[in-house]
Amino acid sequence: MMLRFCAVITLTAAALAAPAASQQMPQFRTGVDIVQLNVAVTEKTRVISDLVAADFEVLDNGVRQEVVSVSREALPIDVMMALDTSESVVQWVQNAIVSAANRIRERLKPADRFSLVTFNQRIHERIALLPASQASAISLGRPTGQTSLNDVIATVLAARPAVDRRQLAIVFSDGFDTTSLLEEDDVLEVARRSQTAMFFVSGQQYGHRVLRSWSTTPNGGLALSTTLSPGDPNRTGIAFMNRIAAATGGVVQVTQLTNMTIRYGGTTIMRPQNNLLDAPFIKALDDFRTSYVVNYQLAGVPRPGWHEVTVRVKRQGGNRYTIRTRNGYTGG
Amino acid sequence: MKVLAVALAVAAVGVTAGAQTRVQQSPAQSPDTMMGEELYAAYLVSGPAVLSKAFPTNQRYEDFRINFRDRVFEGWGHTAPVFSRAMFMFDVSLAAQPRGYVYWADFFQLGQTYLIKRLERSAPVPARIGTDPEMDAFELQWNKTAISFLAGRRQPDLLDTLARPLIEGRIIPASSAGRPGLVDPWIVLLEGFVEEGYVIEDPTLITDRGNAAIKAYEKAAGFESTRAEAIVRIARLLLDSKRPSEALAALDRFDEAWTSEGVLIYWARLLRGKTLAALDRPDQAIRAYESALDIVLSAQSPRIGIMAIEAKRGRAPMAEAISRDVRTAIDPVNDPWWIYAHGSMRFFLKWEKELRAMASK
Repeated sequence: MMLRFCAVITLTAAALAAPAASQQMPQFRTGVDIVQLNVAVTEKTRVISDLVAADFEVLDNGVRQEVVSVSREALPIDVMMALDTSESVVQWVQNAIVSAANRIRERLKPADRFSLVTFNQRIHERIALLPASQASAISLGRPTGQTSLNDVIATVLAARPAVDRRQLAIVFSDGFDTTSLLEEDDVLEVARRSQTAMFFVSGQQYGHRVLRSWSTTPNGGLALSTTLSPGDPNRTGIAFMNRIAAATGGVVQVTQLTNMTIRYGGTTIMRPQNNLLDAPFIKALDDFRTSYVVNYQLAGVPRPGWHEVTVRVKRQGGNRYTIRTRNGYTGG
Repeated sequence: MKVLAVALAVAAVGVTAGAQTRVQQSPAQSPDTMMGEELYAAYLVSGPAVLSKAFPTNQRYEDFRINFRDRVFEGWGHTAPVFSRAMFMFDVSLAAQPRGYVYWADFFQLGQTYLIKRLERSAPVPARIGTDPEMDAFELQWNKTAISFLAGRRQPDLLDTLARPLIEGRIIPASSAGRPGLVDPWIVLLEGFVEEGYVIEDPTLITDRGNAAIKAYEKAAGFESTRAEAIVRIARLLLDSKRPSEALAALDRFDEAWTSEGVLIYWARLLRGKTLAALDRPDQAIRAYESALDIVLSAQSPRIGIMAIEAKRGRAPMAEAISRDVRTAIDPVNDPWWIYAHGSMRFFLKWEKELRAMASK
C-alpha cells in the first residue's frame, strides 16, 4: 500500500480557530492528541470524492481510532519545491524543471503559497514562501556541483506547516546522493515525524554500476573498456525516495528523461521536450489537493514511539478502492 | 603564467631547436592544427596558454592524441627524461579536461609512463632509484599533482590506474642525501584514498574495500605528516561500517595539535558529531557539531546534523528554525565536508605550483 501524510499535533482551541474553511472541522479540547492523515482514495483512475467520517476506519498500532473529522480541498496548500541543480542535470532537463515549476505556480489558488529551494551540494532557498502571484520568476542558474539529496530532504521535511494549512513538498532529482552528511536512515527518522507530504519526480534509474577497466597500451596510454553491472533497484536513488514517500504519504513518479529522438534521413535529431515534467509535477499537486484530511483522536495507544497506521473505507464496495496514506509516524 | 612560459622556454633551449624552427616556418599555423612536436615547440615558447586553443573539438583532440602516441611518444622514451616533456603531457591533460576523462586521462598516463620508463632503461631497476634525486623528486611531485587532479573527478578506477605504480613502490623518492627514501607517507595515504574511493562510489563495497582502506590508513597513521588525515578517514569508514563505538575510539586518538589544517580538524569534529548521534548521545553530538561550526562558521553540514537530532528527539520548532537557517544562508563559504570524497584534491593548486617551480629549474 502506498501511503500518505499525518502528524501528531497537540491542538489547542486557539490554534484551531483559524481553519474555518472546513465545516466538518469539530471543536477540540485543549491538550488532546489529534493525528492528521492525508488519505487519497481512488478506484482505478477515478478519485473517490464523497466520503464522510463514518466511511473511514483507522487503526493506530492495530487499535481502532475514532475519526473526528474529514475534509477535502478545504485547507489552503503550501507547496515547497526542491529542485536538483547539480552537474548531472543537463540544460534541457533544467528547462523542463522550470516549466513544470511554473505550471505548479499557475495552478495554485489565491490562498495557496509557493516556495522554491534548489540544491546541489548547497541548499538554497530561492523563493520564500509566498502567495504564488507574488513569487518572483523562477531561475535556477547553471547546473553545477554535487548532490546533497539526503540533506535537502531532511531540511524540507523539518519545515512545519502552519496550523491552518497543508504542506506539500515536490522534490525533483535525476540522481542519488553524493555529498550529504545524513544517512538515509537519519532522513527517514525526520520523515516519520514530519507533517509534510513529500512527492518525488525522478529520472529513470536502473541501479547499474559502470564497470570500467583501464589497461595500459603498449606505448603507455590508457585503453578503456566499459561494461554495466546487472541492474539493482536498491542501488538507485529511487529506492530511497520510495521509503520517504511511504513515510510521508507521497508518491514517486519516474520519468524517462532521455530526449525524444527522430530518425531523419539517417540522422538522429535530439529534440528536447521542455514540457516533459509538467504532467508529473501537476499530478503530484492534484493528487495531494484532492486527498482527504482525516483527523482522529489518539486513544488506547501510548503516544511516544512508532505508530503503524492502517486506513480502510467501510462503505460497500470500499474494498475495491485504492487507499494511500503514510505507513505510520513517530509520536513524541 | 608568464613566468612559467619563460621558464619552460629557458628549459627548452637546445632541446627543441628543430621544432622551434618549424614553428617559425609556418607562423600562420594555428595551435588547433599543430601535431606532436609542433605543438610541443609552441608550448615551449608560449607556455600552457597555447594549449587552451589547441583542442576545440573532441575529434581534434583524438587526432592529436593518436598522432602523438604513434609518432612522438616512443621517440621521447629513448632519450633522457626532460621535465618539460612531462609537463607538456601534464598540461595537455589539463587543457583537454573539458573533453571528458576518457580523453584527457590518457595524457596523464602517458606522462607517468614517460617518467617511469627512465627506471626501466637499465636493469636492475632498484639500482637506478636515488641516482638522480632531482628527477625522483620531480617524478613524485608530478604524480602527486596529477593524482590530486584526478581525485576531483571521483573516478576511483581511474585514480587506481595512476596511483597503483606509486603504491606498488615503482616510484620511490630519494632522500635529500641522495639515498633511496624508504617511502613517502603520502603514498601510503594514497592507497587508502584509492580503496575508500571505491566505497564512496559504491557503499556495498564497504566490507572488502573498506577494510583495505582502513588497513592502509592504519599504516599512514604511523607517519607524523599523514596521521591526522588517516585517523579521520578510519573513523569515517568505521562509522559507515556501522561500528560507531570503534569510530569514536578512532576519533579519540585524533589530536588536533597534529595538524594546522583546519579542514582536517573540521572533519574530525563533524564526524565526532555524527558518530555520537549514531551512538544516541544527542547532547554530546550537538556540542561536537557546534565545535565544527567554530572552525567554519557558515558550514551547512553541522547545522543539518543538529537539525536531524532535534527533529529526532521531538523538538520540532528548533529543527524548523535550523531548517530555515540552512535554506536561507547566504554566506558563500564552502563546507569542507563537500570535498571529503575527493582525497587530495584540495592540494592540487599548491602541488601544481611546486611542480612548476621544480620544472622551471
